[in-house]
Amino acid sequence: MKTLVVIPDRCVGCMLCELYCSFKFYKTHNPARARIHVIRSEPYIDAPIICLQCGLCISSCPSGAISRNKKTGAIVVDEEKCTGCGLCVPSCPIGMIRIDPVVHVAIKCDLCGGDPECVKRCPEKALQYIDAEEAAYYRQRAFAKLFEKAPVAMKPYPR
Amino acid sequence: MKQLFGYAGKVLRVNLTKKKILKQPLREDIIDKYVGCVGYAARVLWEELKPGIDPLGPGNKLIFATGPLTGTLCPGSGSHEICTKSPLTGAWAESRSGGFFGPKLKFAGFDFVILEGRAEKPVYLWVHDGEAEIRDAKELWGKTVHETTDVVLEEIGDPEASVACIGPAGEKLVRFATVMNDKDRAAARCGPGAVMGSKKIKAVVTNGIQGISVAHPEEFYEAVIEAEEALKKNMPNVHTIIPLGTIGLVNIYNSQGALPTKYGYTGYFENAEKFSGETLAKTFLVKRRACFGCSMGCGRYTEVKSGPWATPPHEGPEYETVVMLGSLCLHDNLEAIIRANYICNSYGLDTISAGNAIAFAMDCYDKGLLTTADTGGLELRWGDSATIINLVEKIAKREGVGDLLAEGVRRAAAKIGKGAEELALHVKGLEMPAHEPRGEAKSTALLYATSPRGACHMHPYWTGSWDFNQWTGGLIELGLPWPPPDKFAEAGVGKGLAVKLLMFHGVIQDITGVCRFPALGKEEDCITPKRYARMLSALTGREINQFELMKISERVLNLEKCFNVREGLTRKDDTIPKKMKEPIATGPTKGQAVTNLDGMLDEYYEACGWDKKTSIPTREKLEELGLKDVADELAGMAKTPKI
Amino acid sequence: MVTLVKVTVHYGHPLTEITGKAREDVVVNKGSTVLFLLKTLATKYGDAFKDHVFSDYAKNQVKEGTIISLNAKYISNETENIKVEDNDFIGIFRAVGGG
Repeated sequence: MKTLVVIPDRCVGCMLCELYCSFKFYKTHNPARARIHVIRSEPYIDAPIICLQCGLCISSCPSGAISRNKKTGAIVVDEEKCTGCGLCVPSCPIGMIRIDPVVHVAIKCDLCGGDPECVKRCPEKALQYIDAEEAAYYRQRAFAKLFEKAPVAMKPYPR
Repeated sequence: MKQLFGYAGKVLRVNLTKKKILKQPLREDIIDKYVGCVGYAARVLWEELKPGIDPLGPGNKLIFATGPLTGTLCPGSGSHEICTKSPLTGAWAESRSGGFFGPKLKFAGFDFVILEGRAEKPVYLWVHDGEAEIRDAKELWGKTVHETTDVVLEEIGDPEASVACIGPAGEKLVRFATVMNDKDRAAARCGPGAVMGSKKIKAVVTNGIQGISVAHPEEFYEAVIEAEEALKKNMPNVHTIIPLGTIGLVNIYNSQGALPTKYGYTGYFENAEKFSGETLAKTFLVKRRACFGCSMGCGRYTEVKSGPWATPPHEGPEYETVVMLGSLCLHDNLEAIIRANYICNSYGLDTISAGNAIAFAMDCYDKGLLTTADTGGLELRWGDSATIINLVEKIAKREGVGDLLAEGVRRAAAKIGKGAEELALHVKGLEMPAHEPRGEAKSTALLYATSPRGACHMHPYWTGSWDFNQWTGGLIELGLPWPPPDKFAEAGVGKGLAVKLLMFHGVIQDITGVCRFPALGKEEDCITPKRYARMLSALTGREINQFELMKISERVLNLEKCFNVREGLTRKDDTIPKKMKEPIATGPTKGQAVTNLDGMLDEYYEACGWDKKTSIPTREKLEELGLKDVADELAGMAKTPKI
Repeated sequence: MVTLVKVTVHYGHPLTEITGKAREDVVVNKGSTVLFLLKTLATKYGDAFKDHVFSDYAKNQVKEGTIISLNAKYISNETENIKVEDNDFIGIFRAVGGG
């Protein structure tokens, strides 16, 4: 089983991943409709935030629209069943399931059915689609960064 | 109205005097003939600006311009250009910047923002989701670019909006003040910041969720992938610009005796290595950074952690900056250069013009044309870091001798007199940048003399790519003389024709709204006119081939030229500084000088179809380009120089 | 009696990494060709240098895209025929763009 992983220090904040993502799904250029999001912040931060496919959103859905795809392991939204109620949004600890502003259904990363577009297009190879065991190793390391001494406050904070 | 693909479809027109905001539909008659971005802005300013107005008066207009390719998957789409009448040159100004502003303006639902009139009190503009509000900027006036950005983002509550703003230099109407965006990206040349300052508008902030639509998505996607694959083959990018940044050019240019040193004295600097890209990478570079949608990522992110020149992390420095504040001033301290760059960004000052003005001051001081009486006791010694930092601050704040230099070297030289005008390195008032025309290629001299905005190495195009780098840019099928002649040759080898065609290619990026860098290279490894035409056609659904696109470029270039003619500029203003006609003193290009600019100008005007004596586009040429009304207006002008 | 000449060689990236310097002064016999100078440097710095400058070392062929300049004039295909003089400048770099 493969999964998506970020190599954080490779990201240069170009946001091509967002652009290719919205293009793939909607044939439009619109980062607001992308299922991956890059946070650029001062100082030092260029962070691609990806869905970790953890599944916390599944039980939040009153319509049973969210489930895990057995082939890819990705959590997917059945857009037919989704009513756009938005209960899944707060269930995600990192904010990676949201209601699409145009179609008004929940959208999230589905790993492009096993062939992630963002991985193919990232010019820095900051996004990788690799064996889950290997991914686990990288994820530990990325998470450990949060414990670095003198963490830098993210400015500005949204209201 | 038929759906417009690629364009946002709306123009935001803001009258600051009346505090009125108009949302106008994009004029299809203009995009049909001029495509967009600089082309569209040139037509609007041609129609709406009265000739002879004060660029710092309420009659001037400032346009934030994007093109159809801005914000798309086309390489280099993180771009916008600010077009206005320049307070530095009194001529056409187009000032490009990278970052995120251009794309986010389109996501906000607008292709252009036109600022007119003058606000009574400082304001800023918040543009989002098809709407715009004029807001009070009293608390922001006086703040640096970085502070302004932080405060505004917090005030509007959207940390991801893009802020384009001026710093204290723009407020003080320094004639080469910039409009910065996303903190450290600069629309730097020609002084757009002063125009914004004169209108008392501190910032334009933008964001939105409107997508940029595509007429033929599959074709567009294929065209983009093909273009990206071509770019991957561009070895100079792979080996230098990407890993080292534009600052990676320092060692190369020095090795070729093309590094401006000691203000026109020579093209070779013994200590250039100290501020090279290789040195930066080993010392103060934190990481690379990219603009929106760019697979190259040439930006640097730099920090000086301690010492007298300590500087917080920020984007920069670029090649131009390190040379203008480095070898041009006989200065080699990289830390101090980084600090100076940060101060320029903070205050909103063009590093090219600032470095040039400082070196000019040093040259004048060296030759006794400026004394400590003029400088308030400051000794302007070559190579002194403290002097440079001091002068940058003084220029930005218009203090002491800084007030004189803030006028630009042309005006400063006129005021100083005593022969200072022969020392100043500018064309049309725009300070000469970090490409030595005697050392890089003589075509650079021709470019400096004829670029509509003055001494510019990049607009409309970097012509050195042809005879210095020996690249085709995909222009052979469009008539580019090939192979290129000796870079040191002047007239008689096709440079006039080549420069014209290279300029047309550059205008393609300026009218479609993208960065120039992906367009630099050979047929197989850069975005050629053919590749732009393919992407543009698939995006907008308006079929166009590379020949037609170059024709539109010709139209836009002619319009920019006519804008200048209308302001009184003719062949007499297509010059190069006197020092460029004197031989380079040392190094690999010792002895090189520009000896036949007139010959090159003759060739260029002939290639363009312009009158050789005056450089004015002929009626025949203008009518051929569908610019009869422009020809009529020029003919009707009382002061039009007679042929 | 042997006369020597001093030549300043400038390196572009990635030769700056391979040689560890941006430039160096090299002393050779008067009358030496540019090619001889390049081969001297190749011997000094090894295969990495060789592969970046030559596409065919034995046939004296400079790699395409590598520019050899003598006093800022491009002579990549004439290195065999041109002799260096005292205080000449040699540049070895790959064509780049930007500004």
